[in-house]
Amino acid sequence: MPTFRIDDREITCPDGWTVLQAALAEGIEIPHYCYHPGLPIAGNCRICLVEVEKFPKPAIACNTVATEGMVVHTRSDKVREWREAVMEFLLINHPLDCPICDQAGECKLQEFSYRYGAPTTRFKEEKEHGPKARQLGPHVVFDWERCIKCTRCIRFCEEVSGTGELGMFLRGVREEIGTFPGRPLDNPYSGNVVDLCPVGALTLREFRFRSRVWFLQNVPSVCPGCARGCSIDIGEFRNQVYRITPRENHAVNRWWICDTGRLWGERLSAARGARLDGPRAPGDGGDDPWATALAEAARRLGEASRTGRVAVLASPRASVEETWLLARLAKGVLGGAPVHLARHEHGEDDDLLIRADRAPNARGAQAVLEAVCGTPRSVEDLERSLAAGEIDVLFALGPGLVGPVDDEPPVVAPEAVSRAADVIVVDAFASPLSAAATILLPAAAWGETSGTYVNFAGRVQWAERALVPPVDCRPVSMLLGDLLAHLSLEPSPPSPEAVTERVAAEVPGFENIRWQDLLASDGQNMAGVRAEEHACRATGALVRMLEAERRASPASAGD
Amino acid sequence: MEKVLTRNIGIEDSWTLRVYRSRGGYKALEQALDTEPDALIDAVKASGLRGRGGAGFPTGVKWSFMPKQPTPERPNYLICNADESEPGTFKDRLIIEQDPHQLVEGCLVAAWAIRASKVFIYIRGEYVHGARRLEQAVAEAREANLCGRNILGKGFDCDVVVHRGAGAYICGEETALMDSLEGGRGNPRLKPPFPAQAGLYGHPTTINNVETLSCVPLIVERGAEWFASIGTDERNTGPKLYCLSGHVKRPGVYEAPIGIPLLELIEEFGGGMLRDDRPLKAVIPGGSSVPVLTAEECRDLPMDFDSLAKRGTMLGSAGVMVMDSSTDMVQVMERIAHFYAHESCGQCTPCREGTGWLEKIIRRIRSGRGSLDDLATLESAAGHMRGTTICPLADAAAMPCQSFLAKFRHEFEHYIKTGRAAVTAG
Repeated sequence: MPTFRIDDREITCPDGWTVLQAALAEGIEIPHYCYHPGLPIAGNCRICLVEVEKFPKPAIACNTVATEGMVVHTRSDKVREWREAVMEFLLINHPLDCPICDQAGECKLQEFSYRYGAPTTRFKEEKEHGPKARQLGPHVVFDWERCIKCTRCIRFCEEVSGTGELGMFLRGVREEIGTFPGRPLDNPYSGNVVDLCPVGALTLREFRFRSRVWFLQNVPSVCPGCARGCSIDIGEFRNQVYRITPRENHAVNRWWICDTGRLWGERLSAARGARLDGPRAPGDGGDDPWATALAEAARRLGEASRTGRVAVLASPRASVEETWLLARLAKGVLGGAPVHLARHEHGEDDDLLIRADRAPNARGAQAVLEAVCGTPRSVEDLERSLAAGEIDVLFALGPGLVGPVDDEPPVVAPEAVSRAADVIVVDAFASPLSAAATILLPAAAWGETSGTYVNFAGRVQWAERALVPPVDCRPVSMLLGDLLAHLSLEPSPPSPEAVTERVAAEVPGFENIRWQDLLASDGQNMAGVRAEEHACRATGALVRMLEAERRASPASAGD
Repeated sequence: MEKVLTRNIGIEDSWTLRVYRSRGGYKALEQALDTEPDALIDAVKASGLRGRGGAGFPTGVKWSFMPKQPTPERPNYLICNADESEPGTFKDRLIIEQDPHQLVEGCLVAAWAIRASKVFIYIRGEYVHGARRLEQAVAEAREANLCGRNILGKGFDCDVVVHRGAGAYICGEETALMDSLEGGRGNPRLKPPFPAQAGLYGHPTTINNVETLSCVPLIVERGAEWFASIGTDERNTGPKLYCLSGHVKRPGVYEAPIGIPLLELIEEFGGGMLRDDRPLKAVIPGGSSVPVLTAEECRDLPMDFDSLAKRGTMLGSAGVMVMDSSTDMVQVMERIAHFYAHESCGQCTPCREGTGWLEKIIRRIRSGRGSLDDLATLESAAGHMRGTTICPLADAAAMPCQSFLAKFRHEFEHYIKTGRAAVTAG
């Protein structure tokens, strides 16, 4: 654990950490482009040059290991001059096309130029010109002129995705990032190179020229694509998802997300036609179709609960709060009707993020149902009961709560569903189940409500509402609350936050969960789990940092 | 002085094993294999031999960094850097083409000393003829059990691989060379780790220049004391090859004791200035990357590491480029700037951007569109390239620029003011 100085501060860090890592951990800014904690150190951008006493030359902070007694200056006149010089070099051939560049507003060239650069240029020559808008793969577009050759994207493909599509071609000022003939940048994680690019050289095809980034409201959320539950930000503007970017979370996804998650917003807007809108119920909807549909649903549920010929289908795509309300409905109003939990394990695990289970809350739903109404039953069990003609009314949270379901098998066999007299479905996107509904209650989809999701490893995260649902769709919690109110159990629909508090009080594992703590954080673990151990594998400089940390605190290494 | 490094050159079939052996070749190897490796390292240290590739690092010290007990899983490697690419430098080529066995023997002795099981000779791609000669020499040596398994029956296994580069100056930088040898793009690596810790394929590696390794058999055969007795002082020892080019009557590679006075080199070996009516104007003493000397500065100047350093320049690769009074120094500088801009690997920002910038400014000045503030920009841009990059290529581009500006500023100003060169060839 060396103790050393950065400017006027005494710093202690684990053995083997670099000056840059120690500085960043202490909140001291040293500008950097090529360094990224998740990637191997390249040391090529040279903006992190610092002055180390007794060193003959400027040292790059990213590759200088901190040692006992070292004295580092990051704000001396010399350092200022070196940084200004590197900024000048970086910008002489840069097109300075910020007004039409998607990166503007979140560009490290802009930021560091503003903070460390000279106000004017001495460059009088013709700038180097090169390829613009070159498509590297289905999602990534490359602009040679903006590129600062930091090689983050190359290192990502080598070290993290392990696909190695990108390489550096040519040399000197003409060198360029490119792909090899016949091998485009096409892997499940390709979009991450766009986030990694510190400048506007790599842009996402789906986001290019769609919005200035400063118009976007970045709403902290959880990706609904699989059981990993990656921390994300939903970039929202005028009630539309413009882009989805990963939010750093070392218990879950570190800095990455897969392209499926990144393009979830595109998936939602492409499936507009499949969106369920407007309640549907037998008979005349009257002036207020919602009131009619809810009353009708409540009436039939009430009747069926007396005969005991009712079953409930829960969804691992519903949030913890929604599942808790459903469990309350099953237990309190429907006389302990059997609750079945759907499954969406039709994918495959990979070695980075993607999980076979294509639902964000299987673990949370399981825990809530177990606590409120006992171990949930399987879908096969439900199919058997339906086939045996034991069920008159099926009340289901549908598979389309987080997005369209056109590419997956039906959650319950349609022949079985057809045996029920009444099928009451709460869902957002059309599926065979909603097609079979006798009463359909259109719900707000993922992103349109707030709620808690528990990933496969037991990490509890809060997804904040980013969008207003369409006019004729209502949040699941509101629908269930209304039904509960109709059936005289709850006075009025509770808010998700209030439900979270109830869950904390009632569900084992959630004792310490407070929604206030979850908000815009990287989440909390369910009691008794160490979700970090199942986090996405560490790569690059992070591996060394973690090893050093482990050596430094042997106490936490054992358990 | 007796020729030692070049003793075989000019003899018929000097590149064959038969001739090399008939002149006492490979005796040093035999002798070395009966000596403890550490004793050899000590002898090379005592000889005062410094790297002939350009940096002048003490060879014996470099060798002593290598692990003493390599394992089959973590072997030691020796690389011979034959990627001679510095403009004005052609000394290694002479050895490679005319006396390749001297180099092969040097490699094997060095390999024994540093306990390397394999030697890679990385030769620049353009040296086609040299590569063939080397390959032939290695094959002959293998045939004669001078390399390969159980060399000379003394239980030492070591093979030599000749590998041709693909034409990049940067691959002469030791770690870029390793990347290239491994089959990758030749980019200098971040240090640490240094090659002796993690070099070729991540294994401990020593890398030496052709001329350096060619000195090694001489040290073994004639002793460290003999080697150290040649030269200026104990820090500048041994015979040295000088590459004389430019405005002299007899350009070529000349062997002389290290520290021979520069003007003597030009007069005695080069036969004096090319034309009697054009006096000496400037000399680049160590390849295009080192600071230039004015005629005045060339006086009483021993051509060794420390004397040149004292005069603000370097021995480098001993590529001595002589320029007479008809030389347009701005044109020379433009050519040098172009070379480094062309050869920068592009990895580090100051070098990738800076080398091209220097070239563009100088080209503009030469085209008559310069202004006086360009000179300040040149000076400062070159200054900001010094010591700020992974490898010394940026320094190699910046040092001549700074020295040309400091010493021949009036020629740049002449272009700016008149649009024409200060000198006319006529």
